[in-house]
Amino acid sequence: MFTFTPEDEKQIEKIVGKYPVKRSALLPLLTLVQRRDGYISPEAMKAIGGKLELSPAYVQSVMSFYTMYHTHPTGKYIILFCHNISCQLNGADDLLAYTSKKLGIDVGGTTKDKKFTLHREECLAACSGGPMMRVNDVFHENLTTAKIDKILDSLA
Amino acid sequence: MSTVVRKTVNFKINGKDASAPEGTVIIEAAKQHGVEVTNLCYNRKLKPFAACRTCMVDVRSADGKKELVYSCTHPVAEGIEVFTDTEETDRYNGACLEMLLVEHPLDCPICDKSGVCPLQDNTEALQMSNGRFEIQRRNEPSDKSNPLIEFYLNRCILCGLCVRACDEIQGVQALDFHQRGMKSMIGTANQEPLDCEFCGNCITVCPTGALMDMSSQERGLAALFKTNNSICGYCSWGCTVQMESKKNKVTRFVGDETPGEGINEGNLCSKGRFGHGIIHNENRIKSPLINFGGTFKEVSWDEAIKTIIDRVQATINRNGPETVVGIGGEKLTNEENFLFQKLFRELYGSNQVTNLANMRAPYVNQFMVRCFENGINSKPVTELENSDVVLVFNSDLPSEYPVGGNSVRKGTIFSGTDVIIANPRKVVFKSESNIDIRLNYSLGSDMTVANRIARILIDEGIVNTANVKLAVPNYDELIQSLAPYTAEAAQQATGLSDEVLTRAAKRFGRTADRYILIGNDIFDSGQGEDVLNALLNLSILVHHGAEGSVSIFPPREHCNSQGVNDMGCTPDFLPGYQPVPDHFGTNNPAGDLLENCTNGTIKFLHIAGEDPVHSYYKGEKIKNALNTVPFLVVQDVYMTDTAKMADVILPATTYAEKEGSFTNMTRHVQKVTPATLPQGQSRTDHDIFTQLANVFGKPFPNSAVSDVQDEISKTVPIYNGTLPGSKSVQWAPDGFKQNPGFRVTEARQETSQKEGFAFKLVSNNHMFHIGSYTQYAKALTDIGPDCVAELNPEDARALGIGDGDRIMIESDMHRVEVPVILSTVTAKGTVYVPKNWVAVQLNLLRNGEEGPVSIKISKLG
Repeated sequence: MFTFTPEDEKQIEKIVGKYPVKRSALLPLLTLVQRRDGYISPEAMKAIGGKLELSPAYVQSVMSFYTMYHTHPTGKYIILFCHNISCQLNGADDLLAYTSKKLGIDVGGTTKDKKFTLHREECLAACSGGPMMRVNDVFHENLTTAKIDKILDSLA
Repeated sequence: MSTVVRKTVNFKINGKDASAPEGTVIIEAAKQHGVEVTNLCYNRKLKPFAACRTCMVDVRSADGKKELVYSCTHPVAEGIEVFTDTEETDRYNGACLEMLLVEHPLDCPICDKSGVCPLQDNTEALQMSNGRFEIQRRNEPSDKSNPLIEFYLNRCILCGLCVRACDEIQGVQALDFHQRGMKSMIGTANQEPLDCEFCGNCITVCPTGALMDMSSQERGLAALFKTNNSICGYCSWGCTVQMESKKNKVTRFVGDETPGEGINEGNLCSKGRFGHGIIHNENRIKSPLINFGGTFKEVSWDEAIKTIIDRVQATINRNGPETVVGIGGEKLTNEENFLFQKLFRELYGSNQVTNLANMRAPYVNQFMVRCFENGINSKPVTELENSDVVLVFNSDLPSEYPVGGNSVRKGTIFSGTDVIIANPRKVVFKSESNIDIRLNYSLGSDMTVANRIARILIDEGIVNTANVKLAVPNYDELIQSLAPYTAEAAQQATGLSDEVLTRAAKRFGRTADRYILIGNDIFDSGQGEDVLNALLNLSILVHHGAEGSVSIFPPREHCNSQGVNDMGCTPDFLPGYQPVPDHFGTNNPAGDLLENCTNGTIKFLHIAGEDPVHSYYKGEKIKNALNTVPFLVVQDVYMTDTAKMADVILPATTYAEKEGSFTNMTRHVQKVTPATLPQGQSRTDHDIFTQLANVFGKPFPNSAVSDVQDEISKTVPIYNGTLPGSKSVQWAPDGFKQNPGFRVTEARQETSQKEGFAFKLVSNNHMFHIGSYTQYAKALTDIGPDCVAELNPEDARALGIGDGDRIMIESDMHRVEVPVILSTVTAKGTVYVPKNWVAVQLNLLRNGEEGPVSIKISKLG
């Protein structure tokens, strides 16, 4: 059962108040839920739609357009691995495969201990530092296998 | 037209001079001048979208600059020249189409849309039969997870028409695009089975066979069906339906979007589109029946007709003609009702014809006449979409007049229509209106809402009272009658703040073309007549005291509830609201039909196509009346509870088997044509009346439908020029004398509270049903199988009732058991129950109560 906490309700009121029409608050609300739960469940979509007078189908259509919203439970750390041109030319594919093997999960999967989720992502606008990945909100650039080991091992 | 006047601009299309209102998109302007531009995603009912990229045209501006633009989003401008099919535009448009055809399955021979398919037409127009690309077809299974609409998305070209129709026309948003890029596809939230209002407008607008109607066994190429346009036989909105039939069997109904066809622009609702299951149905009455001591025996038509006429003649001779009484049918055509009253008045010599709506609320016709006497003639409903403000008064549009709701929504998009919804329930009506005022008032305070708004219009100087005073003699009387409606008193009675009522008044009183749509719920308020009068007064105020116009229509329930009255099936008027001649005398047993059946005054009753035992609000009394009346004739399609009480039953036909005309609630007279022959032994009501006249020994001189229409045109002045109805003309109220005047009534509030009955019953037609006859349409019982009550969650919590529990609803007369769902639409202290299930007899709960029925509820174990 999905519910908003009293703290969420306060936040939502603040966010919705920023816009002249309610539906404009859709992306911020999706973000709010994803930051809280790590993903957005069908029940959450309904609840968000209820707040903004939008149907679940509409909410899903907006949400599914953006790859950074997740529809399934995710791990504590979400790794978004860039595979666009600059990163790819600098070996992103091999590094992604390395990461996947190291964590023992496929791209798109989550480790059994619910610690990591690994996704392939479109350009994250850090081409000068490619190959790169984003772990939650932190960008890690100029990656090598050693660097990846270090980063992942350092995360508790 | 809206009070906002749009400039006309002049331009050229393919070298020819043309003009259109400013803001018209090129594709529409071209269409109006007979030039078709290729396109797949344009629909004049919807906002421009430009998804398909196949409507590019070449535009030269006044200074000669060339531009290639999409004609569905680009408006016309002064002095431009448009070329719609140059080598260049064809190349661009063709290339986009060519890419769509890479994925499209091209399974035309087995597609429902084949023959009426825009994708085929455009492929043909652009000669794209030889594509250059490798074919890459999708091969997903079709989705039949809901009972009525099949999704075969391999054929989808992502034009977005269904998504937009669902949102903009219907206000539902059940469908939307999901994912993006190559993966994008339309669908429901989380691929759950479609659960919506089932209007099926997505099927109408779909330019391929991606969405299909599963309601019929007979599927297949549209091109193989015979089609005829007729008028829907359910609610009083009067939508044109295109009936498709094959080998004399009606197979499916579709919307006809041809501009100017009917009043509904091809929009239909669940009942209108999927309700054809009542036509070919096992349960229809198969033969004339005569009741021999409690058992019905099949007899020949001749015997049944002769039995009736023998009885009529004997009754007239013994008791006088006025003891022979008829109830006309709100679902019969105008021509049939005309013959019915003619049979009674001219042949039997009895003025005693009436109809159920008139029996309950004779003041509705008087209200309509008073509108005319005050010079309020009301515009055609086709102009509703151009109105500036719509007041929806106690009507749940999506259930009651769903296609009316479609027009209002279109208005909010294209004309900036403001919507004011006044209703004791928090009814759902989603639109794109900028101003959307909700007057969610306390049950039973309808009159106060209307009168307080009237007083605000005057007090705040929103209307020019000097003009009103000049035009209407009893202005001072109105002022006096409005005195009790102070802000405090109104807030006390309605629960509405004066701020919101003032906002509504200001919006309503501003310069505007206004429409007032009134729901049939007002009849259950106990103040029906007073509410209509209050709304009439409100209309008179703006009619004389403000710029613009006002259109107001009496609430009507069934497809010909207006026509049955127009045709004089009321003891108060001859056809066309003409006075009844004196020779009929003043003895008027039909005026209180139930009483006069029960006390033995009425000896013979003929009911044409009605089921009052289920639908009349005095449940117990109507049963007594029909039990007592010595001879009862019922002609109907199904064996209703009323028919079961008859002495003679005649099998009649549905609306798809007859010819004539219906008049909708806004007075549009529209042509009804048959899609098939009368089924089995059934006969049209028209034939039945003609037979009765023949056997009575005074045959109607000319009895073909066209003859009757000629006679109506000659003898009913208001219908002159409207028949046969193929042009959907609204009859004009010529010949009503001008007699301006407010109708004032004393302030009062329904407050009847019965000890021990804490709740009030609210009831109307279910979204998927009307009357009890839609229960025979399988498609409609598939989507609306059960009678489910609605209860406010707060009340439910207090009583320990949960979602889905069964409850007992009791009035002091009767009790029913129904499951309940919790919904905030229903106000606290009320229970909403749809009235369409024969097993849940709400008219027994009501049993003659004029106002809200006091009930108590309890949870069943």
